[in-house]
Amino acid sequence: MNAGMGSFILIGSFVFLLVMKFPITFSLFLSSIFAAMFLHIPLMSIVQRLVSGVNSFSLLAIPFFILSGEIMSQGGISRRLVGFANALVGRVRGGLAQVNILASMFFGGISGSAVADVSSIGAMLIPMMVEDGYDADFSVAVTVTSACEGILIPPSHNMIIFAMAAGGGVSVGKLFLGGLIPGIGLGLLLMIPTAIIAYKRNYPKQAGFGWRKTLKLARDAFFGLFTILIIMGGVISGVFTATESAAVAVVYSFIITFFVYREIPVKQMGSILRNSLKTLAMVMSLIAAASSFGYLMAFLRIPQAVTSGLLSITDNKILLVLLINVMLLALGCIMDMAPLIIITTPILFPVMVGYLGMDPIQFGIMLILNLAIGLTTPPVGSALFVGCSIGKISIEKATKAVLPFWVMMLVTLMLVSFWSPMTMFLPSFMG
Amino acid sequence: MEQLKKLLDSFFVWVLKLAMVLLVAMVVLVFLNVVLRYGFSSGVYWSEEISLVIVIWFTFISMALGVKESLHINVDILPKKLPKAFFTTLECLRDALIVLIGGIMVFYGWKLTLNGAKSFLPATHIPNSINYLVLPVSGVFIILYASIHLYEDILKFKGGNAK
Repeated sequence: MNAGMGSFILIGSFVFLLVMKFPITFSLFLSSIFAAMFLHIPLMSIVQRLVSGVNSFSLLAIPFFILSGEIMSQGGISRRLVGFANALVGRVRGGLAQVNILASMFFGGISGSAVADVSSIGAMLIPMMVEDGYDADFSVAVTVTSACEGILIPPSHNMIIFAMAAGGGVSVGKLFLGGLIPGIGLGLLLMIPTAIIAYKRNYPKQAGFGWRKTLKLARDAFFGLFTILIIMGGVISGVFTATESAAVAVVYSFIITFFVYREIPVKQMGSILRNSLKTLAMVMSLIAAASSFGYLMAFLRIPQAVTSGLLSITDNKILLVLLINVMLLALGCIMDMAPLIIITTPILFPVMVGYLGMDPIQFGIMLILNLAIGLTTPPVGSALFVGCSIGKISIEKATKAVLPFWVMMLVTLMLVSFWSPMTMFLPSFMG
Repeated sequence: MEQLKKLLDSFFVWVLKLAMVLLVAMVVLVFLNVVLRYGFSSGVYWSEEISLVIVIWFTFISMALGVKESLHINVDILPKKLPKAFFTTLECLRDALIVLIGGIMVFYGWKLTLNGAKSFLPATHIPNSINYLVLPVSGVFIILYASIHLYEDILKFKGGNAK
């Protein structure tokens, strides 16, 4: 009874604060304080959880990946990736739209943020597409959905958050490998409706380049794309840990930006650091606050209660996986990715991994893809919002244009959920 | 009020600079350890411990930055048609609650800092307090910035009524 009331206070006050527009980070902390007061847990241990929540070496990879992504974006990597993608697929019907999808795939190997993808690749390609006669809503829809590839393609700081939230037993390296095929697969699937619409509306093609120019564009882009090889190579071979690979990636992107590309002065490091700090302010505080919340959820045995609750609805594996997918998609519509990973992972992990026997890697990719789709949906979809403001169209108009692409995202989600080789093939090579 | 804000900002600028230096220091420390391991088959024995202290400091400084610049995201599902005064009231309540949270951080953070003085980190023998000292520091900035926001939001309330 006491635990039931405690759970009610914890979850109830959290949801109430959220709906009343209280910041998510502080809602997590304050509801933990309320529940702790009710349960007579010393508040000092709740505050101490804030600190111990971020006292983890693998967590350092998050600031590193965000910093290296920021250095690369400000250093003009997007222009080079778009140039290279243009040389590869620009000549087909609706070339710029396919370029958009391919460039996002490349960009995903440098940054793990869909919003960063939309605001750099999208800011460049959406105006170009509109000028070439593409419909604005179509251009925004392609940009916003293809930006989600980057969350699955390593490096992805969201996967590190998942590994943390899952209790530290999940290998970040394996998660990275697990996301690679779904990320590329999503891109390839998105190319199908893009091609169909492009033929229907007779969108233009891009002029081809000579092989000399193509080679130069490839070389230019390669310096940036080498980052992903460092990270994956280092982690898979065991030369360094994910955190170390992230630090190496920062140093590498610093050298490439300021000594090879040389588009911006070293002075700009100040604004790069400040921008990264702003992104990190949100993410790191959230992780700290979530750890007090997670402590109380574990104390109150909420994950066990949710597990038995779900199993009382059905114990059919397929139905359960579908049910959890629907729940995650619904939550993703109203809340951002990082907080949802932190909150839902410890709750759903016991059902999915413990009861249904799904591999933690497959579960992680499935969870992240669900929430990635949420970034492209109203009422709260950060990628969609940024895309609409760049393309200067309304959310309603963009939403209609996104529909055919959602079908492809759902197809990818079903493959990830029910066909384990999609995620587990590559990680199986790692010891 | 404007002057107070400026004074506070001029302090906080230094804290932010510290956070940027910490971010760079983390990269350098971890990178250096990789170089030492493969280049010289040695390593810095305190690298991991210090990195962890740094990430804690970095997190809580950035939490205060988040309060100052309203970077902490929230959920926006309330119908937009609700009266303006309702939303202004919510904003005032939000600021007041954040002041309270800052207070909790200062009070219990300081207690933890004092407690930590008795135990030491294993590799460097620095007192454990170093991990908790950032809580009261960040808490003070959170209280002050949230108070300024509260003052501004109450003013907005008056302005809204006048129209």
